[in-house]
Amino acid sequence: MDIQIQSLTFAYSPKGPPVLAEFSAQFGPGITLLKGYSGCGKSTLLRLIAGFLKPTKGRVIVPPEGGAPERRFQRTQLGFVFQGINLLPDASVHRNLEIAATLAGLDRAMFLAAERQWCGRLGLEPFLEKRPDALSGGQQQRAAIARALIHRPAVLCLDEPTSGLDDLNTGVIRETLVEAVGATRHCVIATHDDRLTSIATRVINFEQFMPIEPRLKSLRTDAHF
Amino acid sequence: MSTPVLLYLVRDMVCRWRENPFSLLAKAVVAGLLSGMAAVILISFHLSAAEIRRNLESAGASSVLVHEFVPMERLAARKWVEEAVQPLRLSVVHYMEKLPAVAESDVRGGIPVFLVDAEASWFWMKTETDTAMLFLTEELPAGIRMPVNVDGSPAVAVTCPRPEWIKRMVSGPLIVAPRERFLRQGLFGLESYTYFEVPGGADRVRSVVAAINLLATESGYKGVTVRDPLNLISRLDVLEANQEAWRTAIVAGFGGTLALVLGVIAFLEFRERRFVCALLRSFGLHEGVILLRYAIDALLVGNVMLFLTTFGVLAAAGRILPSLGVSEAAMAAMDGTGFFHQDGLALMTFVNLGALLSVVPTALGLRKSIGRVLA
Repeated sequence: MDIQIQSLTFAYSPKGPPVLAEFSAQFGPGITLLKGYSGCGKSTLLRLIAGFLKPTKGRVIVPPEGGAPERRFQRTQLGFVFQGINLLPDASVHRNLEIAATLAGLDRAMFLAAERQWCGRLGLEPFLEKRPDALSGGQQQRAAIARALIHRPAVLCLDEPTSGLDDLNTGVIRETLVEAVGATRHCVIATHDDRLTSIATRVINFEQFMPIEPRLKSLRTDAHF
Repeated sequence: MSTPVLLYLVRDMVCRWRENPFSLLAKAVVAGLLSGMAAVILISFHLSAAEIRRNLESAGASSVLVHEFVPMERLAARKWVEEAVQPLRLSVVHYMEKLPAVAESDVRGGIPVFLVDAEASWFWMKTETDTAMLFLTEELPAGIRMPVNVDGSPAVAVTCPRPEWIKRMVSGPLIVAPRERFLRQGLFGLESYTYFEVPGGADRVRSVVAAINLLATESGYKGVTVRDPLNLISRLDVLEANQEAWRTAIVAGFGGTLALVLGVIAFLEFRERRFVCALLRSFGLHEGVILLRYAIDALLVGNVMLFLTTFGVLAAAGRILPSLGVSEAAMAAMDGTGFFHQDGLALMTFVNLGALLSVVPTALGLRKSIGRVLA
């Protein structure tokens, strides 16, 4: 079962221009990279796939059951890493993972096993009892990915997961994603980061669906860029 | 809902209180002030009603006293009131005449003397002989044979406490004697008192009093005064109606104000926390659970302040009001269950309604889709 996007149209305001217009696509298992300039609609598409935005027109069908992305899907089958806030500020990393796992319906033994696995993989064990404000940016981002992976979701959506991170942190994240997604799960990543291209099953240049802003286009053709 | 989520929500609430104590203080002060004002208003109504009820109880809620100066030419028809109420088959009807003279004893002077006839069974049951007199007083022990001087004639009166109905008629001690002992009448007539009780509520009392007044007017009887509890009853009715209106106003007005103020504060807090709320929702947590956290916050603060303020106001009232002349009986009506049974419900309704309504702005904020909050 693939992620299917059928004639999707979405605009943030009813009178404004659509961010996506009659967009259709199908993403199979593996890692799909959405690339394109800022504002071209990559993040919007991720949120539409997750069901965090309601399409103006068209529909999204998500695995494993082939329905629309509703609350149950979000709870049990989706792992999402946002660009900004990803961890509950008043809870330790361990508690953050526990809340996500509990809402996904994991029992304690399964949660602890998953926590050991992903926190070990992402090098988070020493920070489990720390709160997000005591972590570095890289550690926070790895904790966010651990939180998204804790219930082994069928669909993983990551919005700029390595933005601003050094090569070491990016390397750890890259390896973890390859292991977590494997050949059967779906992972969609919106990113500018070329360091992730090597792990992608497919790369979709999102600019082809969304005309680039004239000013950006003129800057791009400028010799200085 | 699972324990980690519950724990997180409780922790979130406590952290917000710690991080922003002024927000908590503002909520507590507003809830406390409104509760205090409402409690003061309701306590004052409660006390007024208790005072009127006490007066009504001592005056007799169903007692009617007809006082009349009966002129000489109408002496034969002096018991017209008793005859008028006869068809009603009332169980309590007493007729007495006042002697135009006073009695004196060793302990007291100026004691009014009332005369009863052979039909006054209550009197004859208390006397030893048909010539004895009763000295009705609570100031002396019962059964004392007291020498008295009535209109210049020495006599002996036996002390006895006043029956309840006489207390409603005459405020102090009195002497009651058989009419045969004092056949001298006033030069122009006599003063008669007819006391009766009309069971069946204020409406029945009202209609009997109206009939007596009409009969007196139609018959051309002058100097008839009817003393009834209708004025007190109607005052109580008005007060109770006002109290009801105030209860409604407090629930609506104070509840609305509390909802508005707590709602604004809760919404400002929610705006600060909207990212965290959206993140929780992105994990699949239902909006209702987040709303519940804000509702519990408001309900907790509101109810704690309600109880603190109400008990504070009650304690202050217990200390201050007696020194301002509020009777002990009225204060006793304030004790414990009396006030809370009637007005506590109104107070609790306004606070809880206000607290629950205060989450409406947050509920509206939670309608915004996660994708529009978390970019």
